[in-house]
Amino acid sequence: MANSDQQNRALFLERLARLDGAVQEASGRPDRLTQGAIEFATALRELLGVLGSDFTGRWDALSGLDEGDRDEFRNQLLTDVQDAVADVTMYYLPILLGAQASRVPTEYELVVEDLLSSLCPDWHVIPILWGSDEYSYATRDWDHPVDWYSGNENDQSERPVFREFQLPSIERDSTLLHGVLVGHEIGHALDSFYEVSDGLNVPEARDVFNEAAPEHEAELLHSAYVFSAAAKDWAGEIIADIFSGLIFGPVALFSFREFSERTGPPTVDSLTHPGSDRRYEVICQVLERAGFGAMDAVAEWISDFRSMFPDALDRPIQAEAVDEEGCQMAWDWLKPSIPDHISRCFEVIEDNSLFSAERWPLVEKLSRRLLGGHVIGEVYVGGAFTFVPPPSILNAGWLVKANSLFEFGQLMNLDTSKREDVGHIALTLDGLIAKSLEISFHRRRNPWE
Amino acid sequence: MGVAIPNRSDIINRLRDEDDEFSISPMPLTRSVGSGTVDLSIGTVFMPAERSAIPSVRIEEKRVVGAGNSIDVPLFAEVRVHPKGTFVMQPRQFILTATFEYLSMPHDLAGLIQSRSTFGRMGIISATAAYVAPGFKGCPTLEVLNAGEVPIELNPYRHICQLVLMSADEPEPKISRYHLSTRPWPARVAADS
Repeated sequence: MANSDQQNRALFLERLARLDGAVQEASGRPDRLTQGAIEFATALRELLGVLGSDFTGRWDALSGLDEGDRDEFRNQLLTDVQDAVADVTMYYLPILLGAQASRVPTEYELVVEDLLSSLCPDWHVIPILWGSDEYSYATRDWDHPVDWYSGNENDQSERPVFREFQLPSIERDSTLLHGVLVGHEIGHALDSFYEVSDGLNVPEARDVFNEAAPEHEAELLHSAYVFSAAAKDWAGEIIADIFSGLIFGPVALFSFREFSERTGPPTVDSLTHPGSDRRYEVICQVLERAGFGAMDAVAEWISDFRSMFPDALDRPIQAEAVDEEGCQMAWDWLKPSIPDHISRCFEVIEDNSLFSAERWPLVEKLSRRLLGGHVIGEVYVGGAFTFVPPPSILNAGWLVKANSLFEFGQLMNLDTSKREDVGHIALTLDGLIAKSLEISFHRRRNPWE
Repeated sequence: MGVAIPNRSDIINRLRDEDDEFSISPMPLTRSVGSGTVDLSIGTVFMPAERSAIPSVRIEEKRVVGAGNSIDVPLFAEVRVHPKGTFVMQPRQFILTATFEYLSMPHDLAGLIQSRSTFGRMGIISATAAYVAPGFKGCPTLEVLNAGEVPIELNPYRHICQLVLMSADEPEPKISRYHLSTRPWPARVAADS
């Protein structure tokens, strides 16, 4: 009969084998994985190999110790590797399982890849788009799994880092909605790369509350905690919104509004995000700085937003189930610095990546092409066909969706006032935009003769 | 009026004219345009026919026999391949896919889509000569069969078929249910309930 020592070893190795099987199964059809996921699967298998050999090597090396020490060190070893295995199970595998081409809009993987390589040169990052069952968009950096396990600092490693972009898989075909993904979530990636919010000096909670009367110290402790958490997170969200507006223009506002209003009222602040109305206003300010105030159509939208949310920046905190005092102090700290953050983000973005008002005439032309039932991935300029940048494609799509969906529906003899038709109309428009993004990418990689 | 086949330079000139309703996007390279023909490629979505427990399809009645109460009966799976990926077609496998190119047909041209001979000789056949009507806009669905004896790898953006153009005269084209589609569509059948 095996002793507990051997049992522990066998149980761990069995767990490792199961994980390896799960990764193999998920990656067994590389033709159906996203490109980022193929590389992520390879990295995970490398990690599992390292974990297995590290574990057995260290385990065997302990066999020479006396029984007491050996058991203690082996228990410690098991704890170490089990933590690593738990992280792989909880964080890495869901990404891999969700990164199937059938769960994500693969056209966007190409867009994200191109944007990151042009906006963040020298960043050896591999984006992974994955579809989750959760209805949210999110992004996060992951060190290469082997570097993460071995504790290597990323800047000492030759291995790439991964950046996951999570999106709701039920929205796979909602191409225009994913403007949120390419805008705001790439904004987070830029913030991470250029360390904009990391460079902010968020005051220590104790400094903010040190004027409080000692007798109220206990009740302010919670507010102090909320202040620290909210100030940092909100700054990151606002900066991601600023980048989104700078790179994508008005689409940042529209896609964000469509998404945020599906998930809750816009005037409620949470611990992690300031209210959407505040964020609309920040994007409006960015658009004005980029010259869109002089574009009639966009200026009208900005004006509409402001009439809907007239006190977006000045209203008191409305937080659900969160300490309002701490949130209010966080907003009071963040609000005056927003113009500086906009300036800082402007400095970071190269002029040729800025979606300024000068691009709007092309957007209007493209929207007319869409209304004629054409795709808009390339344009004929100067005697040659050349690709249309994704931000222009997305803005043209939103322009049609916002102003001319009825007219677009008529192309198919369908009526936007009928429930059974409107879904098909919107899906068809999304399809044209997805096809345009695909053609744009193709043309960029394969210049016309 | 007899059927006329447009010549190569006419096709190229019309495709380059932004004001002409006739367009193919992405714009084909000059070498992909022949006399009355334009090479077309496949996209990234493949729909292999599902071999399931469904007893049979009654085409005349557009319904599936013995499929219970479900309204839409999936007779095809959907596989989305990465642009750099591969779809392997097994011998005798039948799939639906769509052209990568988005076509915009004017009122005075119609087209038929046929296999390219290189693929045909390997057993990959565009099973029916798909008709592209005047006024159609979209990525036509292709019915593709591997009639050969060995699995064949299909890569997105590979020229697999060609559009054969002919003159037409249809001032008021009928709008089909697949108008503006950018992906393959199976025939619609309903379950018997």
